[in-house]
Amino acid sequence: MNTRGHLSSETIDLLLLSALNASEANDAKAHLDTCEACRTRWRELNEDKQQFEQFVFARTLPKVEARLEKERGGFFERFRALWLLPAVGVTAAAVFGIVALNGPGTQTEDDLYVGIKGGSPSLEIFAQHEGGDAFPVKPGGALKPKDRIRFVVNPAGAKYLLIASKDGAGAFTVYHPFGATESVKLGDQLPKKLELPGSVELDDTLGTEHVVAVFSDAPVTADAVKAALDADAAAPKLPNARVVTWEFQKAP
Amino acid sequence: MAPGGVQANGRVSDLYRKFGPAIYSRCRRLLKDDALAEDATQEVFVRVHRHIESAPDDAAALAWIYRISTNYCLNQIRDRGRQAEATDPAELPEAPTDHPEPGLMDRDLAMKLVSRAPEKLRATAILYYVDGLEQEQVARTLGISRRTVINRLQEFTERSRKFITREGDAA
Repeated sequence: MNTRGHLSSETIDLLLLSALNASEANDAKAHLDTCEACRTRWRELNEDKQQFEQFVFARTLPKVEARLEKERGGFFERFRALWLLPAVGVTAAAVFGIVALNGPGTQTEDDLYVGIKGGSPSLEIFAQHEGGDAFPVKPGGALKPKDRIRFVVNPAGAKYLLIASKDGAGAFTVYHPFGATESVKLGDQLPKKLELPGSVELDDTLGTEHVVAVFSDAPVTADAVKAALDADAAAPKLPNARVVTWEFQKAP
Repeated sequence: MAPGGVQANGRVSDLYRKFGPAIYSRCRRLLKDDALAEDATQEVFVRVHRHIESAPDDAAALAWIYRISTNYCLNQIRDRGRQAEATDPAELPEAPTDHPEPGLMDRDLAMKLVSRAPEKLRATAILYYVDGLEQEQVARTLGISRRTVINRLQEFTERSRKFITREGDAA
């Protein structure tokens, strides 16, 4: 019961779904016995529940499942299309062929529906091998030279981001924003999943590559990130920043 | 965006089976149309699938899906220029609410007034007045401070009071 003396819609729904524990259910039922407003609300919700279960669910479940399958394929198709964009302008860097575009990334409307804020920052890496489908790279996973990788981050409210790498030969490279000397400012209203534009084509250096995403509320210099990676590539520490680490193996 | 595959699809189907009735009911109340509510319920669960890795465990999942459905329906109402509920002045009380405290505004009256409110106030008003959440719960649901919730509720109440008074005077 809320402070205004009524059951919330959520409580009534959970009661109808038999999802309250015994004590909560008893309290809710006792309140319904004495409150006409909540009883009316309960009746309305129960009618809707009956209608859904009798007339809507069986008819719409196949549609929902078909949409989910389509969505699942759509993710890879959409990602595949994005691979094509940076290929036009690939620069032959000494170590990596990289195009990184500074920008707000991709914000979808449903991210706003979900309205995610806070939480922990995260980094995901997706890869493409010889023009095939994009696939998620697992921590410690294996990639090959010439594979292309992309980044998806959850800023979790952070204002600045820098992604950098220390490869198997110890070379330090800022991946996002590419070649920058400090982290980039993110937008004010970001989705949970921010697909960073551009991709990285891996070079021939073999071995363990450490990737770090540095999330912060103030700019962090690339020099500071490099120093942190040099000190401890597996668990770099930076003051006033949240660091997400990742590593993969590059093998022939 | 969930590359999780069949397992994720299965969990969403389970959530649809379990919470579909509550979400359908919610969409029906907000959109005032059975067919739109049916479509909206499906769209909500497609969005649940995209963010399934963020889904809380069952006990808290309903509140999480509530939030998605509220935002989805409010956007549908905005995009289609629909009225969440008829706001014919004849259907409104002739005098401003007697309740000086915004927390005591009637749920049905709030529903009638939501479509008149600026967009930024709608979700707060629905969660507080219609769903009966506490201010702290509204704040957590929307990712805003409790102070902002209080301010928005006061603004909603003031605007509603002025609207009702104006329509009452014009009648």
